[in-house]
Amino acid sequence: MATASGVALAILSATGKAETLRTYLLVGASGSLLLAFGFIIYFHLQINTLLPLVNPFDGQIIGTYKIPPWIEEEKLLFWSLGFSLVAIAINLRHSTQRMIITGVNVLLVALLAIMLFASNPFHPLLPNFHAEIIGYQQALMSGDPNAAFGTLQGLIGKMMGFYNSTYMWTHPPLLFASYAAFGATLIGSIAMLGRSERSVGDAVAYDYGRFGFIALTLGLLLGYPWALLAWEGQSWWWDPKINMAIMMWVFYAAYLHARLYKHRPTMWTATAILGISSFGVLVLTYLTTYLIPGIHSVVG
Amino acid sequence: MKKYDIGLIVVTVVVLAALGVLALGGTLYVWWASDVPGGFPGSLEYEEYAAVMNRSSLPLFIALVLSLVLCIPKRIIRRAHLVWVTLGIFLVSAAVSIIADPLLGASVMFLTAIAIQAAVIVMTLVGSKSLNFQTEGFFSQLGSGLLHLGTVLFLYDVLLLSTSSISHSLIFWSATFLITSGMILSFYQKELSRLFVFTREVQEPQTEDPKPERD
Repeated sequence: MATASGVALAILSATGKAETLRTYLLVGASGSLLLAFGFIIYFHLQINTLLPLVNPFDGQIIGTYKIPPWIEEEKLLFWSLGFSLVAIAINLRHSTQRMIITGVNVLLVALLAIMLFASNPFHPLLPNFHAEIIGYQQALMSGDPNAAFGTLQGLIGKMMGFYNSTYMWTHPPLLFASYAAFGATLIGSIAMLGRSERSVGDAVAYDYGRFGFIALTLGLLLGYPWALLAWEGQSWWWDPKINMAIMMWVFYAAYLHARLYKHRPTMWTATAILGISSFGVLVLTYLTTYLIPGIHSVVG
Repeated sequence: MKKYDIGLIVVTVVVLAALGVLALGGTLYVWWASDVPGGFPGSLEYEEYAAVMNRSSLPLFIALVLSLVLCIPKRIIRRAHLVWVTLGIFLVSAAVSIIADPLLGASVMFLTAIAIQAAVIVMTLVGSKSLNFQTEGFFSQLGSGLLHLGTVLFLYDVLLLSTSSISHSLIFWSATFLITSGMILSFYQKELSRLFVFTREVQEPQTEDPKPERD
């Protein structure tokens, strides 16, 4: 539903007509995402209530899962939801800037399409978590406490260090909030290269770029003490995802610095190109999890 | 002073760009080497890769720290004395490193930078006119001060980590708070200035009688 609303929205944006209908479609797409996100939260609450880790010898509850709604394939849903809010704000504030509005809405459709066809959080729901817990549940139900206890040890470690970690509620959402904001920086930077919406493009790119950079920096900083705790004794320095995150931070820092000198010769174009290429590095950073083996990755 | 400022910015950007290139090279290498039997992360090859990355990045981190240490005294020290003061900090740090311990030598340099930067922040807060800032505006200058102090503290925390886990928590959270608040003040200085002026106007109503309205 969100994708269908988004496609209609992008087509209408390109024509520059039906402003009210566009607003309804955008709110419809965001509402669908919010509904999907609400279902994810409900599903996680069910895990918390119905799937406690139980000591197989005495039946005592050892711990319950408090899984945040942005793990596994849910990440892209959270990012899309954040960007849909950015899109609403830009559509309301810059409704006459056709290029920027079209760009923002097309990017929203692209995110929704990728989510639907390549990273659907509902098909299936939390496959990795399911794979982790199914062995323990089967052993528990078979009535073999020794086998269940064997699998329980690993589950407790991951529950405390990963799923229930306080950092899980700060590090990823800050990064996805920054990704959502940087989507607007991308569109604004592209508009900077055009003729009609140059100044508004720069304003949009910077407005969201500065917020995104604060969220990115804080998010990365909060990943540091978590890494020290969770990966103690393991090799995590120079992990590919961390390398790419450093690259991304450097690129956005360069964009913000270049913008200080935007009125000098060639710096306007250089700033716009940095704003665009930074988003390219952001996408590569996101894809690293799925392409290159490492401590952050789901491959290898 | 302007040439000195631009020179430092160029050095910082070059060092950061070099770190970015190194990080990209590392990522591409891990991708290329990822078919190691049993998995590359955690393997002996990974340890070797991490060691090479550490060795390659060390000069860049040292250059980054040096550019920060060069950047910090310029706020309160006149240009004529700046080079001598900076050289003095380096020489004392180098002497302590050679005589006593490299970590202690580095600590001398970091703690001096932290003390100078803390003084800059206090002077900014009390409205001192003797500070040299490129940017204008109270919030922008305070933001810059906090950001620099936070960055030095963060780098010092990374350096200390191998020896002290107790101080890590305090230094890390102080650095995080300073960096974040420094960024907010720097990036939103115009909005904060408008808000501050508006608040002051509301608190201090005009004493003069307003002009009578025309019919």
